[in-house]
Amino acid sequence: MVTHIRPLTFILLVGACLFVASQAMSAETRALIVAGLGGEVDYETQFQRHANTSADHLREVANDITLLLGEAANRDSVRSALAEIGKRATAEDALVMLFIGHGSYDGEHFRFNVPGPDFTATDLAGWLASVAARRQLVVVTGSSSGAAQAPLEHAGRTVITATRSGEERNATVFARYFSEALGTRTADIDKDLRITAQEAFNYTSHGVSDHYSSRRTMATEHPLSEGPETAIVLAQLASVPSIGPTVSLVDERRNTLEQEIAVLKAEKSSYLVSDYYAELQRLLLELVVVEIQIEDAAERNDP
Amino acid sequence: MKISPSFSFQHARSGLHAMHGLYRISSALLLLIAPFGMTNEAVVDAPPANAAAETTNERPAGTNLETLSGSATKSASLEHCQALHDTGDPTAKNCYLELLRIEHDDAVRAEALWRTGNTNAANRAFRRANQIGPGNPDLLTRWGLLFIEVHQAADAEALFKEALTIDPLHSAALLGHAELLARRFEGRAQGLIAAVLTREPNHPRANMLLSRQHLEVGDVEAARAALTRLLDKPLTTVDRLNVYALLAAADHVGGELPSPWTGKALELNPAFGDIYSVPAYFYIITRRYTEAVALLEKATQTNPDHWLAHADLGINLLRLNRFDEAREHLEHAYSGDPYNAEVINTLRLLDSLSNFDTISSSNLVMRLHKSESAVLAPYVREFVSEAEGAMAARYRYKLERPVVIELYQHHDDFAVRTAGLPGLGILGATFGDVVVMDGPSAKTAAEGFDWVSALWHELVHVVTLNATNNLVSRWFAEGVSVFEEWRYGPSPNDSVPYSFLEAMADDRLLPVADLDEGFIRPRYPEQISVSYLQSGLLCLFIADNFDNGLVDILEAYGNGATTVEAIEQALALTPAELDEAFAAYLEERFGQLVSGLEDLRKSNLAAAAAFKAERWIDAITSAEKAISLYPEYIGPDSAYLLMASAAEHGKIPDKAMSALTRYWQAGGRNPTALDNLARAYHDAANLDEAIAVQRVLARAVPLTTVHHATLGDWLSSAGRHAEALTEYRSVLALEPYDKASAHFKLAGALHQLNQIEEARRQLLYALEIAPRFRPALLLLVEINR
Repeated sequence: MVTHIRPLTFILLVGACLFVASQAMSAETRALIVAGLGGEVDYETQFQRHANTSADHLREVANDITLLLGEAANRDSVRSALAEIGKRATAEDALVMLFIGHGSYDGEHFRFNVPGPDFTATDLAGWLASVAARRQLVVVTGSSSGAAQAPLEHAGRTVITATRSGEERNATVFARYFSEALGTRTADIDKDLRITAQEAFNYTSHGVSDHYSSRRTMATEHPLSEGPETAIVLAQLASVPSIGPTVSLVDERRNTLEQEIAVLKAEKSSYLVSDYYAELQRLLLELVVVEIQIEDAAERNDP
Repeated sequence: MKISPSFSFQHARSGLHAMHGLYRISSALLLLIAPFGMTNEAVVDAPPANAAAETTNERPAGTNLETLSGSATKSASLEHCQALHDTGDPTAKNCYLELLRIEHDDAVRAEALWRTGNTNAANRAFRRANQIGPGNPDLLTRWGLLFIEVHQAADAEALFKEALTIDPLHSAALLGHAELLARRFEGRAQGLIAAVLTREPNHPRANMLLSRQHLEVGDVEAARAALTRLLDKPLTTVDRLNVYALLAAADHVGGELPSPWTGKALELNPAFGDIYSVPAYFYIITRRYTEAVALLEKATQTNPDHWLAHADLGINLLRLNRFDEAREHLEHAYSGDPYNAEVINTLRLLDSLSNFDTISSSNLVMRLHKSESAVLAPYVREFVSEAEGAMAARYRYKLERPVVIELYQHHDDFAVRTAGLPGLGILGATFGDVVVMDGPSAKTAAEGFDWVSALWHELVHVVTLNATNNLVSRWFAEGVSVFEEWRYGPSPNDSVPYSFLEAMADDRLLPVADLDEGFIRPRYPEQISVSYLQSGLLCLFIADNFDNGLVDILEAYGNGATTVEAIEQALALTPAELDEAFAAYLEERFGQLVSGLEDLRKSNLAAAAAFKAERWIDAITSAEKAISLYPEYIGPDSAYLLMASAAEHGKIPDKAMSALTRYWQAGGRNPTALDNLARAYHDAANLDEAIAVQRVLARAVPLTTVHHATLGDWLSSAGRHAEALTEYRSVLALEPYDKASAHFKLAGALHQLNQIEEARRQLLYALEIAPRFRPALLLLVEINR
């Protein structure tokens, strides 16, 4: 069944999204990155490399990053780090958590493997209860991580796991593609030079699927994302010019043009093909002019 | 321990088990044992008190009941029914039904049930008989033959073996086992047949099996000798009919037509379809599908319920690209014999062909999976065009009909298309104008599968088969194809695997006159591959030493010459003289290598051991020695690859580069090695070489986006925009993850080629996905200036 959205409704929806996005942009992104216990040197090295890479990319968009590696990545320090973040975070903030490492599932609880006692997904859900940030992203990259989905389910929280259930117990390749996603233009599907959590997940799912099919082996992990589709930005691929107040009118025009393009795309089926692309081109040519104006203004350092 | 086979004939297509390793080509072998049709209709197999038997089997045929004892008076009745049946008497059916009404002996009832087409009930009767009187080799053998009829070879073999443990000299069991081995073209069959003939020189079935073996290698006179000695002996009607069928086959193989034996058989039994289907088998194994189909059509007309003939007809019609008729016959075969895995598999495959695109032009019909056709079609088109032109000049033969090429995504689909059963050990097959083969997703280049070379190999077969009306011998057909791969194919090289060198060292090569045997009945595990290589080298030797030698041999085959005649006519040598000259050539080319095989083996082992121990310098030194002994070798275990990897680990990039370059120049095609080499060339600003390597890589691994994208980028930067365009189109056809970039790159190439409107369209596609895509926006501005 095809769902039709009326143009006006669509404009309002797009407008609302952009409003939320602009609100979000004024808020902070806070992040906790944990590299778990590898068990073997190779895994230990991989986990720490992926954690460091991810942290490097997140630094481009977040000022508040906690990175826990090796012995520091234990149950108590994770709990303390979240408690500290909870003290700083406001409701408008976004909280990003990456748990890179092995997991296990005993049929009842998912456990993330760290030096000393492991912590469960239920423990994590409890620690997060005191964090005010309404937009939250939890990424668990290891084996059996699908079992973390249910305990972590919460309004406003997106949970991404490397596996779809606790029964997928083999070591995963998810983290490799996820950390890669944060630094590659290929993952940036809309070419806005930012990698959102959704783009990172899509890129990772594609990469994982390719990984197994190209080796002609059965896929032992199936990435899963539950919760709201998240626009939380995880990486910035190039510096974006800062926009002063004098440019804001032009910036508004850009937003309007993007809305108009979105509406046009939504109504594509009601156009003749040639008319549709002619109108798209008209809007795009205007958009490029606006983009250049913004860039020029930024280069001139207009206040 | 007694064997109690689970005799679970399936009544639907689903759930039927594949018979591993059974490579049945035709019904012809089966008729020697139990030429019965089957129906699914119920025949009561309960004891007579409950009997209300009925059957619709229209053509029960006879069998030799010589070994089935147990109830002499009743077997006389069975023999009476058999005699009626063998002559096509319509009262035969009633005779069997009457027998079932009065007969209590399960062994006899099993036979009657079998003949009425109720194979399930027959199986149960055999089982009961075996429970009541275990350890009877006659009964076990008959039971095994029933299993053969329902295509369950493994169970049949187990029963024959059990019979032979009880009586190691049991002729029927020996021949039953020989039958199964012969169907797999295993040389051991000959020993079992000989064991029977030594004791019983006039044994009908043993002589028939022997004659079949002779006919399979074209020895018509030996086949006739084995058969004619039977003619003046007392034979059952069915044996006589089968002898006639084989004599008719000998006439077909020998080209002496029309055969008088056809009329004689039909006089004896007007519904004896095997008088056509037996000769058809020999056309099938010699790839003369048109002739086989014509005979199988007659077989099905003579006996419309000859399910095996319908099955073979269907499968061979497919080989002639006659799909609709094929389906009709296969469905008819299935309706009468729901146990035939070949039929079921092939029908399933036909169903799956709805996922294929058929792309036709004047000289080519391609059947490619929808998800791959856009990428593969240009390659296939290019190869066919190139091959046709080159081979027309080399072999003085121009194809008159379009070539049909089917590429399969899964090896088992290819195997079913080729032989009706999964598990086939080859990669491609050519049926006249029809080439079917594994596509690049069925087996990967990393596994050593070079699909473009395989396609070239098969295209050569199209030429050699058509140029000779399919009369070319197996060794020559394969030899020319291998020679073409080495010298003119897309991946030319001079590498001969160690298995051939070892065969040469052990004196296991065959004389040219017997070389076909190496393909048909291999006597050691690697003999088929060794025979391919020997044939290829022989053709290489002929091409280099006899002007037009290959063409003249091809023409001789086309005129009906045997291998001996073809060699004598084309080369003015006897086969023995050719063998001698070829042996001298091999000695000159490989003699030193063969005598140093042990050194080579030691060097390779030392290199591998050093590599494993991470002693990189030692690994490089040993690999270098192995390369110096055999620099042409580029197989999967090539010393070049090991040396490159060791040098990389040892951080000696120049050495790694040198190893990869030499590997590439020798014709090596390992995708990881090529990828590394291409990037190394690119990093060294050697763009032309980088492109050359990357082009081969993109073709070898055509369904991987990154290879096309990289090649497209490099071609663009070299200003070769038309070629880049092709690669970018391939990228888009592969449904890339980043579609906006793919459209943009395509637009860029089109813009360079001044195809502005198409460039604009591609830009708009890109920007529709990603409106803020800055480079695309700027190009849009530029083309709108």
